[in-house]
Amino acid sequence: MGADSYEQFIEGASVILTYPAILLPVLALGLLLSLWHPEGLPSVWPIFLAGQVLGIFAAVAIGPEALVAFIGLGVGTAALAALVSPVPRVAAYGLAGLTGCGALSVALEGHGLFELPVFTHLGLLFGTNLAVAMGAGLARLVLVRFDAGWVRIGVRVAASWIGAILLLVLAFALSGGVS
Amino acid sequence: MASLRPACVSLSLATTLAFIAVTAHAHTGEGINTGFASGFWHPIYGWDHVVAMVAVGLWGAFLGAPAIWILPVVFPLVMAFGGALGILGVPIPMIETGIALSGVVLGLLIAFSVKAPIWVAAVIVGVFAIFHGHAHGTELPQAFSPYGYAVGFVVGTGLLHMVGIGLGVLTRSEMGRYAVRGAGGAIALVGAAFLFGLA
Repeated sequence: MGADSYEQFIEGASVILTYPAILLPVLALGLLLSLWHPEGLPSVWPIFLAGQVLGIFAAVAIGPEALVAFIGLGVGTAALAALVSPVPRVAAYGLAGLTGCGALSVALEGHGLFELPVFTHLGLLFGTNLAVAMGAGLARLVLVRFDAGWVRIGVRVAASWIGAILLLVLAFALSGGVS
Repeated sequence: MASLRPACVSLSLATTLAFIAVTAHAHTGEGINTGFASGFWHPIYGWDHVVAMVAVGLWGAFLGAPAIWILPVVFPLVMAFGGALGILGVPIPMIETGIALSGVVLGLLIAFSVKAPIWVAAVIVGVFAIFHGHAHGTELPQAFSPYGYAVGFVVGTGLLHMVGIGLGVLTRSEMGRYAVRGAGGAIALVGAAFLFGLA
């Protein structure tokens, strides 16, 4: 029983952490939040969590096209992080809610409400929050530890690269090359 | 002594990146038949692409801040936009002419050390980025992993920019500035060779 629960949890987490179309937009959000404010992630985390809970319920109503919309959201998030400094507060909060909702609804797309085991849901939530914490934490670490202009530029270049990768993935998805 | 330091940093960076590139080439696994390897080598195997990518970094270094970081931040996004248009089959006329022209124009801008305003530089580089991206998008092999290709393509392009920026640090010394301007002339000649069908 315990082993089954653990496997379900790992399965849920790995959906987020090994699927680039979900992982990259969440990482981009992490970079954006740390570029916005040193305490960016803690301050928007309640909105991000609320978005994820909403995403669990929204998954029932969405179709496969939600993946394309979520990749597009990731492109916008990454482009904003790379090109706009500082990011408006409303954008940081709004993108946190939308990304949380999008990640969970895309990960659960095609499944009925709580059709999957509870531990799979917990794994999905864990994976989503781990991914955003990785992005925001790494960015914050280098930004605070090395207080230099070029470090901030490096984080923005990383965001630009994530945006470029997602833009190409978006084109593949629109042309039917990504499932 | 102080004037030698930028040159040393520049040479160290360029040499390190060159070794990284050789190592990557030697460990491609299934060679070009993987998504990442295909995307990574696509911008590097074509001389017309290589000289333009390096030229972007060189010109950015020549223009100094903020261009040195704005161009590498803007270029991947705009180039990916061009790539997306190519993948989606949106036609853009005279792609090959535009690519060859990018080498000529960027090379001449470096050779004559033209200090354009940042927005002009961004527009020039952005327009050429769309041509290069579109070419990569339309020449895309169908069978490879799209994710691997996208990551390899962006990383390969970014590393070429870094080589250009690394070499561009030479502009901090008088001798280095002449060397970079000479490299700009060579880039313009390579572009002209492609433009007139000699390469």
